[in-house]
Amino acid sequence: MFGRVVRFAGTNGNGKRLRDIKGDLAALQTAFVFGLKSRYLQAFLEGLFENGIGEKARAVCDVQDWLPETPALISIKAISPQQSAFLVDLCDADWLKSVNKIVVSYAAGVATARIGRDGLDESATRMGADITPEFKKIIPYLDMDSIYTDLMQWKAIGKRWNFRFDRRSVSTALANGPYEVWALPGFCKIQSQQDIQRLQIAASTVARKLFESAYRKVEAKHSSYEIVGAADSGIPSQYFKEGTNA
Amino acid sequence: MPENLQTNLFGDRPLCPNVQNLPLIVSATSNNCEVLAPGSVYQPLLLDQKDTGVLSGPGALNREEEKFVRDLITYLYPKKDYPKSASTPLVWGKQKIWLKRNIEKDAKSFRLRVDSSDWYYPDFVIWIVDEEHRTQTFGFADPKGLALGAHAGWGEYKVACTQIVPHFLHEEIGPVIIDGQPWTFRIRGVLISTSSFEGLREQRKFLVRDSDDVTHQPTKEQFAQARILFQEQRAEDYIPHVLRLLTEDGELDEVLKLGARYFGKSAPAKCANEVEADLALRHRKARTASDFTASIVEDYLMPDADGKIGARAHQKRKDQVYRLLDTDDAQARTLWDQWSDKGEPSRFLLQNFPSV
Repeated sequence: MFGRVVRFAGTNGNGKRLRDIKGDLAALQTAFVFGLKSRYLQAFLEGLFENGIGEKARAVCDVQDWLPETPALISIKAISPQQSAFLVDLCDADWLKSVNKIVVSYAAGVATARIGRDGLDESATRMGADITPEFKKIIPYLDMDSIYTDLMQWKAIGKRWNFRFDRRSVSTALANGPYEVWALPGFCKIQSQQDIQRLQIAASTVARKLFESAYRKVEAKHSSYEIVGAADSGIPSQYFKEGTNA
Repeated sequence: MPENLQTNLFGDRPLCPNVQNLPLIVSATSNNCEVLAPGSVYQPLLLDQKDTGVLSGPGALNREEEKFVRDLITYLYPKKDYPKSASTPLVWGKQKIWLKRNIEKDAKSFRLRVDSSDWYYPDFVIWIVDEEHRTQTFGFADPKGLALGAHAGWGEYKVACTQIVPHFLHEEIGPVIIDGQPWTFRIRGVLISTSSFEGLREQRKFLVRDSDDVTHQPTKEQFAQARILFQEQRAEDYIPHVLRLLTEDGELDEVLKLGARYFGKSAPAKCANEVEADLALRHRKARTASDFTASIVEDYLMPDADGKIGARAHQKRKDQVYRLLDTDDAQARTLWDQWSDKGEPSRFLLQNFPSV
């Protein structure tokens, strides 16, 4: 195990707790950290401090504006439309036509470094392959209702009330959408319930990304650009710095 | 408390420094969290010190971004006579340069998008002001690990935002008046790959096509024409190219500039020449602006034997005409026989077979 966070699969792989669960079992749905011996807990706390969690000392300082008076420097500001200014309707079968290809990657990025003649040679590569054809083959076996529910939740959480889609929009996206899935070999093999859950989550992610893409496409059409002075171009007025007292 | 965080007497609270006393970015050490950057429109700039337990923001520079600012300044001031006073530009010949660290995820910052992409916030804005010719270049530069950060190659939204979107913006914002005078206002961008040239050219989506439709890995010069440079060890090996790309257009830029018109209000009703006709055909075919841009770069970048770009684009149209003739389409044959300028297959197709 590595990293700072352990994610539990949760109900239907969505990380959520079961709603109706009896008595003492409810507590088991919450992750607690126990130290069997006191030194385990000490090591755990030290690990937290080393990873930046501890008592913070923070300063907020002013930024100095060093803009010239003349000539006036000009900047460009993009203006996003109000949500009420546009509607995104994916019930129209043609919605996929103008959506850019999205890539969902479960491949591993690998960075390597070696000493070369001119110093340190660094390179980065990706381990994995385009498994889109295999992924599309397993789509008919997935639970579309569950994916649709995920996307309705995403819509509600993001307050995208100007966004309309139905179950068919989801199946169209997964069957015909412009997407690529990159992963290590064997990603699409189904041998257990966990495999189905994993693919279910991947399909939800693909559909959500295509939906986001479609949403942004319409939003972008209603965006505009205008000229502003450099002073209004997002120069911060303050900055912060903080260290940890471990 | 980390050692590199300037603190008060008791060592329990970080202090705000006097900006004028900060070290210059060109002489900063790994202990400096805040630095003075000559030519920056605000001070201080922040250096990412996460490794030493100090967090700062917004806009703390990572190693590659810090190197870019340092290289820009050291290239312009090889004698180390850096300007240190407030509101003083960097000087490049007769032109003045100001630099801004562009803060991401701030709606006021400079940002672009294309098609259905998310907002793209380039890392730096570089103003290059030529007062004599009343020209203000609004440049943007972005040091980025493209080997992992550009899945879609030429079609990647950050690449398209750098190549074609500035031309869209010109259409939208119109003429610019500064201090009561009309100025030429140019918007140009450049991507600075922190991934190596060898690594990037191997990517299958960064290929170029010769006239016979054979794919090749692009050369450094071709990447540069497509507005991608590489962050070299020495400032003088890439900073002059950054400044040149921001202030001068190449042949590919001229094609992209023409192409951009098909997405704006001033889409040409008639095509004056072969390139415009080819672009009009591409525009009809392309699903998105990114696809359109990528197809231009792929087919135009590789020069022919005479060094002229667009060899593949021209041959592609010729091949399409020949395929039409091979289908025994009598009408196509008659029209082609009557077509006076056989060297302009794109115009022939656009006029007679626009959906080809």
